[in-house]
Amino acid sequence: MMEIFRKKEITMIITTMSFLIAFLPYFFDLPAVDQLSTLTVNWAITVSYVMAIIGLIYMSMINITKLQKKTKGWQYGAITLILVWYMVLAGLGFGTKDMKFSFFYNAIAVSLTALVGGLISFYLVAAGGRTFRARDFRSTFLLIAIIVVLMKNAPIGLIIWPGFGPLGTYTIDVLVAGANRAFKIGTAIAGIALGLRILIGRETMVAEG
Amino acid sequence: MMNIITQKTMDIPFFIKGRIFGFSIILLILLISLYYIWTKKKVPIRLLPQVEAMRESVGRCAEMGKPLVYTYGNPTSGVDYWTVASFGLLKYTAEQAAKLGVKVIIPLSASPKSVITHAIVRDIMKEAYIAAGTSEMYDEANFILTGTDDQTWGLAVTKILYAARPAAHFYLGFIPFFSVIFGETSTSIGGCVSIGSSFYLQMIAMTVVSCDYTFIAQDLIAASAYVTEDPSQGGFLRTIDSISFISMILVAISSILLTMGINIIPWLGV
Repeated sequence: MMEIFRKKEITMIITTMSFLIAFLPYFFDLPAVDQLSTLTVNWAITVSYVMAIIGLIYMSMINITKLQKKTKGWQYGAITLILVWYMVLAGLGFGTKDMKFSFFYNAIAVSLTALVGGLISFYLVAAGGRTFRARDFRSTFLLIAIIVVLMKNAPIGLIIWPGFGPLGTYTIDVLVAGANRAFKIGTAIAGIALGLRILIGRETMVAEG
Repeated sequence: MMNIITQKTMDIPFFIKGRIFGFSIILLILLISLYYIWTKKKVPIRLLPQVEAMRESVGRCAEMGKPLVYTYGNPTSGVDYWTVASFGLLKYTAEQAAKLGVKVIIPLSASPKSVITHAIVRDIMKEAYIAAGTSEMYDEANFILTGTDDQTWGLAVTKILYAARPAAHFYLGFIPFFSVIFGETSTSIGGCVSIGSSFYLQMIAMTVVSCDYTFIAQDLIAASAYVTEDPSQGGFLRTIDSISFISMILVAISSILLTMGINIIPWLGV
């Protein structure tokens, strides 16, 4: 019975139907399909919550297996399981606004996120240091752009030469914005092409997955 | 929802005003794509140096007896075009690795919507090992579950890199700002070839300088089309290029006309 749901054709039919229900009301004035689209979007939101539950079960199973087999790093698996299930039970039992729930999130997750942010800045500095190399003609352009923008933002830059201000602003507002838009247009076109590719069944990996 | 519907003004029956141009572009993409699919016209794609480097890196892993880490990213939205392109390259890497007996470690994203990718990744790897006749090398332990959000995922991948000390690290796909950290980590490990990409425009320059080879934007799709040798994927690549070219012309013409005081944007917003 379950084999039927694993068939590629079933996946393709569901994908095509969902696509058309979401796609048509955006371009055409079809009130009935529009209402169906809203309903489908609500289904999708519900399914995404179900996927979160599946993810929780999956993660628990992996960590329990790790604990049973005592594989390398099983201690971290134990900590993960305790914290995750504490958050689930505390959230369900006391509510998300209760101190017993929010304390762990604020004391651990928020502070660790800030820590990671600080770490990233060091990595960015290291990568920035590598950027300051004029290895060839194109990287020289990158170097010039970096110096101009750096000098625009650093107070000493404007003292050295006031022209860094307008030149830096031009670089950010015109050159960088132009490149950014070109990148976004390219990404959007590729996204549409992928959507159509999945729709007409040429993207087999997604359907089979 | 009904209020929104009643507010829609229409000039052409059934069409919503302001969205006809967008619909025409989508229709054009579909028609060009279908043309390439039906005619089965082979689109020539040149070999990118990054793809050649990928092949050489797998060979390097075999020579050094070290594993390869392949990160397809943290696709929080499920399956996006970066991830799909990355799967094509994963298939190529898996085939090369299976032939040479290289262990491939794959960090799996644990974000709820990316659970769908786990089955795809496992299938790709399993098929590659079976095709190469080395199915005994397929090991579930090589798939390591990482974090849900970008930060926990990125840190877990970094930890995997330090623990596994691979001879090559490919991070291709939905890679957020962590691309720069992966590049730096690969450099600090020593002897690790890093081939990366990032979907953040701001991170591309950083990725270029911090790793050995970089896939910029559509390079990933072009490389995927090249390695899979799928004519339809080549056709889609040609479609993307054609529409990008049309967009460039439109931008150039509208810029010139706008400078002359003629605004064509309202015409396009039919």
